Amino acid sequence: MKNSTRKIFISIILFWSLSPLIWQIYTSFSTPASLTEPIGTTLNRWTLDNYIQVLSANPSIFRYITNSTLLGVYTTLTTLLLAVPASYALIKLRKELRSLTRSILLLTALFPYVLLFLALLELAKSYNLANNLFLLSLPYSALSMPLAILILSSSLNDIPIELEEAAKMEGLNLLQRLRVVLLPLMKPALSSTSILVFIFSWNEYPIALTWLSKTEQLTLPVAIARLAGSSVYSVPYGAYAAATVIGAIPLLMVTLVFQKQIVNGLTQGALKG
Amino acid sequence: MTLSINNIGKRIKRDWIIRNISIEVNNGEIAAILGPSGCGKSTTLRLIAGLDKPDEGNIYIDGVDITNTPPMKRRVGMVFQSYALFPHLTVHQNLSLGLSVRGASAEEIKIRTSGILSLMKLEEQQNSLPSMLSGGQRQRVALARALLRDPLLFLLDEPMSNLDAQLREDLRPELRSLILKQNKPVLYVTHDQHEAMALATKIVILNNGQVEQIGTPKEIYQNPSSYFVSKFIGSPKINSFSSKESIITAIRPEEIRFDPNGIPSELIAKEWYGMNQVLLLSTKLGNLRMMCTSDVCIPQRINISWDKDKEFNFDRKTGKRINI
Repeated sequence: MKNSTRKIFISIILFWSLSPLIWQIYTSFSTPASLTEPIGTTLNRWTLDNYIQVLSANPSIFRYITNSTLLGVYTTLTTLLLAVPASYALIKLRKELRSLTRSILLLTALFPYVLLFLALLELAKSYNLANNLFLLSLPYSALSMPLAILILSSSLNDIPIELEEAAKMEGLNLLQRLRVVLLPLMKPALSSTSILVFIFSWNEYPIALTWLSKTEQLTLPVAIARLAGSSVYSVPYGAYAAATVIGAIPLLMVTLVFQKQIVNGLTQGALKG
Repeated sequence: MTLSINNIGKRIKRDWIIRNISIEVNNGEIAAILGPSGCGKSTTLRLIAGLDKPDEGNIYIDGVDITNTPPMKRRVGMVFQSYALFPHLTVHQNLSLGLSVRGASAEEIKIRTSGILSLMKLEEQQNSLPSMLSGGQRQRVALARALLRDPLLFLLDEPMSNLDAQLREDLRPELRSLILKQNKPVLYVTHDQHEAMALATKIVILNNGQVEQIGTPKEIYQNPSSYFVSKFIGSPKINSFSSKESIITAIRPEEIRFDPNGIPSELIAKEWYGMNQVLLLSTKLGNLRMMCTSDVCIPQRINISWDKDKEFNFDRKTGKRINI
């Protein structure tokens, strides 16, 4: 591709993916009245009221950010704790069994999880699992497990078998081998898996909506949705936009910090035949 | 200390990769397992290391059956073909890891690692990652790690194959004296006959998962028990022709000499090796290689002969040595 066409192509993609975000930021700083007017016609269109409203609400948006963060951390830790041993077991399986298991995992990873939400609601009802962030992290981890196992097992598979064998000869037991040799070498895959799981848990809406009802336990997406539905007669677009902008910041920061590891982890092994 | 392997065999489904292999190695002996690729030499080593389980037979160290002992508890010092150094750990950490896992005190770890680092001339590299080392240095780290294991025996899986030819030759005497000094049984896997000849006190020739012959390098060379062994050992390769219906006769190139009353032959090609030269001759028995010193005067008309008692005769069907 020529350099100029390439630039145009990239610009189009950037515009396509960034314009909703820019629109959201623009809306968050606008007064409700100005939103219905063409750009440039209203004089006092810029305002911080939306942000003030979101931040001064009781509980404030930080409460929800804290909830979402906690839920994300629980989900990520639980997922890794289960996916690492599962991946290790997976690569030790016989070849036919291994590829069969991988295919099944891939199928479940592609399964639209929203279809499970009624069943999960029933579970929450009959076993009293509602309104507890840690308990909510369990279905989240279960849903993240296929993808996590696929990424982690392919990274484990890339580690030369002699390294683990050398560790065996040195007298390291299974846990020591994992801790000292295998996990450090899986770092890129571990961080990209963590980020993907964290993002999933941060954005998840339908299950959180049904499992959480107490205001002080809500996660960010559910809280923002409540904001939108708080009045029968109008949708507070400005406040809604302000909340989403604030809610996106932590995720954006995490992604920027770990950008390199995410890309490394996802492309690991991609170059080998 | 004696390592003795008794009739071990390993199979994948119904196919035996190796079978009926029995080897005995004593303290201070270096036994080279030599054979073409795919003959099962690495498999044999993995069984002794405990990385794979044999399907039959037993392995003993000093009479103690270790066939079912897990590799973590086997006290075997192994050098892998790829060296298998932990890429995320420094040289020092690579060496101290095993010691600390096996419960050595901080004081002991310090003394032993600094001792081995100076023995291996690796002091300056101790804080480097393996990726920053040269091939020879990596090999020394791998060997140092095996030495720190306090092993009952050493297993070396083609430790030279990742080095270039020049370095290999330089390191050979060093490696030999170092491992002989340990006075432990050593098993050394290689596909390189020169390496086996130079290093080993005993050579085990494997072919198709079976032992062809066990003997000192000299015995193997001078007294091959099968056609395969005679062909596999010796450079330039041994000459062979069929003298009778069911017999293959072989003669080493250096045994052939010029003889006015011998077999008439014609010079096809000449290879010069400095001190020696190899002549490729066409005769009624087929093409024969003849090795002679390079200052020898090649006659206009070439006639060759050799002593009958230097010939080896093999049964064409079984490949086994026969006496006529």
